[in-house]
Amino acid sequence: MTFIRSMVPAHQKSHCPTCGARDSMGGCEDPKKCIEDLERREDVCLSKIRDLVDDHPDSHPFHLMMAGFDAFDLLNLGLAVTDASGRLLLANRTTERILEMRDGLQLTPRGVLQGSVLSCPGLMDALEQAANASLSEESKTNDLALAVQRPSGRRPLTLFVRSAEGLSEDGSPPTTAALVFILDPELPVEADAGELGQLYGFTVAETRLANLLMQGKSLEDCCAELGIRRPTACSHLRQLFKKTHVQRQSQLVSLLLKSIGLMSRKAAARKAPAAAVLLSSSRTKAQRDARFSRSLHSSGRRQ
Amino acid sequence: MTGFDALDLLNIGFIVTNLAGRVLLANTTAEKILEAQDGLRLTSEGTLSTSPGCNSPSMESILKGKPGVKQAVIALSRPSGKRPLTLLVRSAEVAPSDYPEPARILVFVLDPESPTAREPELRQLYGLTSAETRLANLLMEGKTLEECCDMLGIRRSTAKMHLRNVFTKTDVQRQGELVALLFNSTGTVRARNGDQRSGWKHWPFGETPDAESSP
Repeated sequence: MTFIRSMVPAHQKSHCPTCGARDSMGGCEDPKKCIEDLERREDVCLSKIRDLVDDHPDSHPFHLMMAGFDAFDLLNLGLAVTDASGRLLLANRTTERILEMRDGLQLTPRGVLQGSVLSCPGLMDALEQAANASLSEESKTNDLALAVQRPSGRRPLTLFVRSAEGLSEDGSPPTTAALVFILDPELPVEADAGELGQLYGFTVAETRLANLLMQGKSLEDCCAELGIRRPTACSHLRQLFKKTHVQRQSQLVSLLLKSIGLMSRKAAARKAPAAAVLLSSSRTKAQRDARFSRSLHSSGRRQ
Repeated sequence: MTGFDALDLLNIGFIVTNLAGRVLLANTTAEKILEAQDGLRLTSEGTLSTSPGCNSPSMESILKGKPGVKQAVIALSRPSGKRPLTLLVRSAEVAPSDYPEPARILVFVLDPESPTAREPELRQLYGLTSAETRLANLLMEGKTLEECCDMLGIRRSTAKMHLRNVFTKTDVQRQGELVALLFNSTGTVRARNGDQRSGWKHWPFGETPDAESSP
């Protein structure tokens, strides 16, 4: 059963999960008892999964995973999954939008995630390494951060690559895949007046100033952009200090970014509603759904 | 599962609840915030709740939202006196998805007091040295150059030299611009330094934090 197997770290797989005997040392003393124990444990786990799916249809793993992909789109963060050869298996809308721009990161006709020439020489290796790593605890800590240069001269994309458990087809053992997390530093941080109003009681004018400061602008730049005079900007700034209980501009910027900026990055243009999509083939949506459900259900069924 | 592994990467707490406020999913960042029981906590029934004694609105009214408001931002004050948690609540009806699914609520949580340790990431991304990374981290926390000198035990001229190098390597001109860039390029990612815990918890399986933290 995939569920239990995935919880046993790779380096322990040559041990009997029940009595702990090693294959090389002659195996279990009483294999029959161990098998019975294991089956009992699997049954408990299975019945838990069944209860979960039957009693709480709203907590079905499939729906929760979709909620996870939604979350990344809501935050304007790109999320992609590739195999060892860099072939894209899964991507959210934000990733699609980044790929469509073909600025630094793109998809080859065969569906391989690739950096433009010279933009990120280490990407292929990083994906291969992550997807081939065994899912032991040690390799999980080896995240890799990469900067992908962009031909347009915009700030490089930030990529984080990590090993993850792949999507398993019916009956196949769990595979590893490379999980890629894509950040576009050029997306502006822009909390709306309502949000900053609810959080700190900022006025509309104060919100405008706060947003520009979060984008790293100096007070002079802010004055020019907002068309206000310096004394006006200073009085807004004093209000911002007072309402957030800080003493200095650098403290204000850090606090605003940490308390709201990280989740209010605005996409350049929003198209269709966000959702996870499979790009690896021309499957229809129904087929995709079926495949997803199957891979999830296989984790609840004995093989 | 990939979707959950990915959530583990977020430095932003992410919680999914059903309409009654029962927690269905929480990523590691959210789990830590819940375990601290400082502003936000989990009841023994597994529902999300605000800490008692705080003048925050009740979680029920927060999750219910106001009619016509698709997304609400709430500051949750904390018994410890730390800066309030930011809660971004997205009601179920507007959580966009192609898939037919039961109603649920997405909750994002930010803790303004959580440290921004990004040392390996900054070294890999921009080729900063250890000394430059330490300085950059303090600047992200809103410290002035003078405070950085005190905390790192270095002289002002040394700090200025590090800062110039950081500016060159990240291609920025000013300190404010640097801080914004560092947050934009690394801020949403959670450092995973030797953290061996599973990245997500499917609450019906695991113990609730209440049960875990009681001796």
